[in-house]
Amino acid sequence: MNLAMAIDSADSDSKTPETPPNTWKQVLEENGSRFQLYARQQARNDADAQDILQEALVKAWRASGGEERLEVGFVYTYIRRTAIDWGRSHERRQKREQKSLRDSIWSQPTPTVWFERTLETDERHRQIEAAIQQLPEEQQEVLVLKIWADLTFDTIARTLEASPNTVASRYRYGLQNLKRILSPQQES
Amino acid sequence: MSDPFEQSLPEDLKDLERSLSNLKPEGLDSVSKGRFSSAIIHADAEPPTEEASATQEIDDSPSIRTRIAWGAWGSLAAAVSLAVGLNLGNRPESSSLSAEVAVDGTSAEIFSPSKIPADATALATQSELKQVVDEGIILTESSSRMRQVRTLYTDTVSWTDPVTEARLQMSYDREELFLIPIDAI
Repeated sequence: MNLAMAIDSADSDSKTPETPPNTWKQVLEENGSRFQLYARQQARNDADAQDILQEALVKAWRASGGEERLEVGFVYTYIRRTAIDWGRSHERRQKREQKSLRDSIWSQPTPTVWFERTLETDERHRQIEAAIQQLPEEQQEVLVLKIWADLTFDTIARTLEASPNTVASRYRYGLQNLKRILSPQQES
Repeated sequence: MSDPFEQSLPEDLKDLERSLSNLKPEGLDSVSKGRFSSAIIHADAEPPTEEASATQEIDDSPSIRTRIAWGAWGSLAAAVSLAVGLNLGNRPESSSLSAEVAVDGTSAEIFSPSKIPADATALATQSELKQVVDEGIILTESSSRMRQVRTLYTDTVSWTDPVTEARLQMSYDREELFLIPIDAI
């Protein structure tokens, strides 16, 4: 199936009349943890992730028409764009204040918890989070959007402004790399 | 729905995919949910404008506030109390003091204390800080980021009429909104 057909197909799915309207409250309730995970993947620390997510939600809500609706896809798109803006702003600020910030905690990314943990799974989840964070950024975000946000490659492609085939390849490479990183840990 | 761009993965990667999908993203805590909901609600009620600029305090006169928003603050509705025994009807309406109360567009009503005696003397004013809410980051129309901090005060003003010696006390809630540019932090 070519790209145009895929987009047509996705659009026709989204216009299914039986689909109930997504109020922003419902969307936030059902997808909040997914949004948060993606924001954390995009941000340098948890505080930034929260601010980015808030800003993205408001932008996405406005882009959805500014009433009750909130389009899920818009939220991911705006999380990414907002994170890029924040990254640029952070770089500018860091350059201005490089000397004083050099050794401060603010210049360093702080680890965030991505997944629910229990006593039994804590160590394993920590390993997986660390392994994912070792992947190239572009592979990380595709994994997050595909596995935990449950988006199709076509939707991910639109979110990331890349081709679906590129996105699918990044996904595959991401899984391969992740397996390679995790394998020695599993053996040990 | 099957993904048209889904590639056939080798079995070992499918296993990895399955085990990864068993991980649940950490949920949003109630504080974050409240914060995000509040951001959308306030974005709805108060679309930011370009007028918001450097450390701007909106409607921040230290004197008596002329506009009190109380639609969204229903539970914090302005309380106006008048002392018993003051014959307001016979007084000249020359006071410069004017308070417009209720500005949510649906249930606006005008409280005009223009009937306060012209020669009434203010005895005391009191301002009590009731609440400070950090509402997080907002975007202005010019796409600059501001941190929005909302504060709620209760102001109380007392007057006395030198002729009748009657006293009047008025108290009401006052809301201030601070927009602090992020780059200034």
